[in-house]
Amino acid sequence: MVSKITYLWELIALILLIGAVSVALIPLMDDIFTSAEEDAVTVYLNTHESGGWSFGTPPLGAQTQNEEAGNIILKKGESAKIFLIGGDVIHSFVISDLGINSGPISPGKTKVIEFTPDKSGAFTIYCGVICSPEHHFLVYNLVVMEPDEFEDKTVKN
Amino acid sequence: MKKSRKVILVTVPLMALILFSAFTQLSGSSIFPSASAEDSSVRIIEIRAFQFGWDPEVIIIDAGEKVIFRVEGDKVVAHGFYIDGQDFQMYIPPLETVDVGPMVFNTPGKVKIRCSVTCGPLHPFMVADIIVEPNYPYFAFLISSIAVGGITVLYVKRGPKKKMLGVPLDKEIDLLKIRVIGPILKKLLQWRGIHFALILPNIVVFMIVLSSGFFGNPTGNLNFSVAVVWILWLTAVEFMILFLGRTWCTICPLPAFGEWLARRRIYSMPYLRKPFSLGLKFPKSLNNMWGSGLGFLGISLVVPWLVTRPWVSSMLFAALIVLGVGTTLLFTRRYFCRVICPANSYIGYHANISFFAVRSKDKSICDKHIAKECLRGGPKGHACPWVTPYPGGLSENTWCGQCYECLKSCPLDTMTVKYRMIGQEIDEMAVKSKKRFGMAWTGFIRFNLGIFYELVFFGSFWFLKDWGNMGINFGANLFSVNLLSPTSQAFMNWVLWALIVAGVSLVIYPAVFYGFSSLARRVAGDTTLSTKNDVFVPFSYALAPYGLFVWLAFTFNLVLVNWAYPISRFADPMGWAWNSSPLMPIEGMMFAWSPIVPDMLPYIVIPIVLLGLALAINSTYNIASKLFGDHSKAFKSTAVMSVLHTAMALVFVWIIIG
Amino acid sequence: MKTIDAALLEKSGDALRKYYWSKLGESGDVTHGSQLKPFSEMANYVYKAWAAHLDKLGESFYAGSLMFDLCLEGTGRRFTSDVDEANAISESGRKLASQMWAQLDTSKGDLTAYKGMVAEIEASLLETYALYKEKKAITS
Repeated sequence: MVSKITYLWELIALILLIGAVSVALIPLMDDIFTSAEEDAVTVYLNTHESGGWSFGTPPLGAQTQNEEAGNIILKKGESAKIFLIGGDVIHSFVISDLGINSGPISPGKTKVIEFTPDKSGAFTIYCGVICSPEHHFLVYNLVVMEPDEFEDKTVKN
Repeated sequence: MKKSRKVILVTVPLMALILFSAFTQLSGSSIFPSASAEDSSVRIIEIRAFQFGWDPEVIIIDAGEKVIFRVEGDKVVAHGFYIDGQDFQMYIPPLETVDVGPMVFNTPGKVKIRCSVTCGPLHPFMVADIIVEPNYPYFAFLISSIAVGGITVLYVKRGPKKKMLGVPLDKEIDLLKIRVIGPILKKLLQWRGIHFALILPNIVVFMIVLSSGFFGNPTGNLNFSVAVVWILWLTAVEFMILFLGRTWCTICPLPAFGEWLARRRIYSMPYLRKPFSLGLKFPKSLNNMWGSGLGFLGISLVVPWLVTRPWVSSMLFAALIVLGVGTTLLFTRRYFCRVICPANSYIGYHANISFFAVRSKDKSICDKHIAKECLRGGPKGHACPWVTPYPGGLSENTWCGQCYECLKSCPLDTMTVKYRMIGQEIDEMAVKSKKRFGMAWTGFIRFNLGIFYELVFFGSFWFLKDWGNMGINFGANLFSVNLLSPTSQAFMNWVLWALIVAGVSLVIYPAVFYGFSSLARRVAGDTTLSTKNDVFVPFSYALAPYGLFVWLAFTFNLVLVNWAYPISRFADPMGWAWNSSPLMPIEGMMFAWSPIVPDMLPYIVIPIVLLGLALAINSTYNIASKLFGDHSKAFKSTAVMSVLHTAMALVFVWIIIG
Repeated sequence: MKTIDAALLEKSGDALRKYYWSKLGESGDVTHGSQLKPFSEMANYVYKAWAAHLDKLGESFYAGSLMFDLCLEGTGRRFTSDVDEANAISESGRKLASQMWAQLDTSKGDLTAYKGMVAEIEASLLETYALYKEKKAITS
């Protein structure tokens, strides 16, 4: 008594439903929607208590060859872009040895810092605006490698 | 001169005065005397920002006084400093002190200091009061509240009315018969696919709520799951209740999965009526408003977390979906909606004063009709899933979830959708079943929480918020749930908060209400009825319009101040600084936080509550008329109850502008 | 095998004649066609519902509604405004379904016996239909 056309529409409805539910995978579409540029190093700024800063676009984290947990790795002499995303409260991105200070970054706002590292070594990155009781734990590393070192490392990965 | 004329002669000019002062405030000048601008003495007001309040929380300034705010930053995070009606948002870095001013407040009244930089989960509610003396608007509003109460009592004194504002009270419009739109609406509502078509986009939205809540930015106002749900949706539902009845329930996705699973169909009718469900009988003793109403109260005990922590919000909805599916697999019909869903208590309770109703066109036809497919189900539509309503005989909106199944199943095409005057059926409903204590307590809980939330979220008593918040300053998504662990002291404070909330809603206010009901009955001179069995519950239905309007006021306040948060979340639901998203494909739809006319808020919010007050008193009279069957008794008892209702309006006025 | 109550058969025939056959188009000979489709479909349903161990009372009501819905469909309508029509046909359908269900209960689902009962009912209805057609031919 139920026509085949009804079954067909039920099937279509079911497909639409599955499509709707799979919208829950939206976090994985971060590459499509973020305004970060492809070659930028993304840093997502959160308080230490909430997990600290993450390098690489959320939620997957470190994606590019410049990103690692807790570290940014750059090639000496090559211009770099750091894309900062404000997370839970106001932070700032400071590398005082290189004279880099992003200024306060508001939650939900972004800032791009462009610079060319001209000396190799390790430099301290820290949060320059008090953001929580554990603010002083927000300390990370910028590692600038000589070109051949950098190539070796990326080849290995 | 007639007494009523005297009252009107006094109060109308007073209310005109209030309106005039409101307009002058808008234009920047004031009709009230202010100190001369020649005064060179500047007062320095020291104020300290912290998570999540200000110290001092109330500042009293004279109108015309020149002030500088010396804002001391927090030790642990940056804040912002903003005052209603002023056009600055000062950045207050941690450990620094910023001088803001000099400025002069010319207009008497109360304005709020708000934090303008996201500083943590309770940021949107980080509020302090500035009272500009002499606070004429406060007194004006107190008097106009009493005036509204008094005028309404005098209005009902004239006896039962047939018209209100020229519109006959029993006028009804059959929405499906309106020119042009009516037939289209009818075809839509009688189409089997309408339910799925309406719910599908909502499921998309819900999935984004779940996703952003678990994985997105841990701070609430940057996260779709908190900002859109607890600012936009919360407000939208209140207005939907007034104008569209239980239309939220029509499109709610929570029970949909369970219902489709049980029916083994998404939209079409099955051949055999064999639901995929155990089909157990639901215990009769649980089949009332208590489950839902207490659920709503339960949620309010954790509301400072619920409306600020994405994880908590998403967990609630995930849990509700699981419960929805589970209940349907056990009991087949909409018992989840009836007994578990907390929103059901208030949407159902207040829907009774909605303009909107699903009703039979002609109950005499329904009486004669034997098969009653609306109730039992038929080839074109399922049996009413909402259990208690016999659609053909519906005379109240409480339990009709507006799924429109009856419009499809009735072969006589007798079911329709009507628009009618507010509160037309509330008196009959109130008097018919006097033992519906679940409904009465839902009314008490809703009314008190509306006022309480206005105090807690937008008042300056930050410690109340802090108790409810258990003193935790961090947001939480799935990865940082561990942050939601209070100290034992904070937990004890929360217990205090819970006792206050539950105590006032469940015990104190109902006891006061009972006292007034008892007094009202005695003043009316009635000896045949008992307060407990005959008067108490019926009178509580006056809170159906009153509570709704209090919530309309509170949520309207919420949205006028914080609208930018939810709107921006459509483009960036996760709080990851996206420019666009599947919900907002247009780029750049991000808006800076900018409250809309916040200094005028009292002038918008208080009249809404006063309208509710008038409706409450009018409803009380209608209910009392049916109860006592005598105008004089009805009037006397209404006059007594109006004292309580007016007193609560005064409390609200004090919270807003006192 | 139980027999259907004769008064019920007469009432059902009356209801169908008054509200269904008189509204059908002129075509139709005295065999299974649109004249009996509402009933035969309903009979199919009753068997399947019985076999699925559903509830007798609920499904008898549904069977009556089903028969009525098919009558409406057969006459090109989605609704009717006549509550007597609705009552007459769906009540006949319900009572017939109820007796058919009882038959299935006693014969423990004997399909042959069931088919026999259905055929009996159909025969009676066809008779009523034939008489109706004759009368119509005479009076027109």
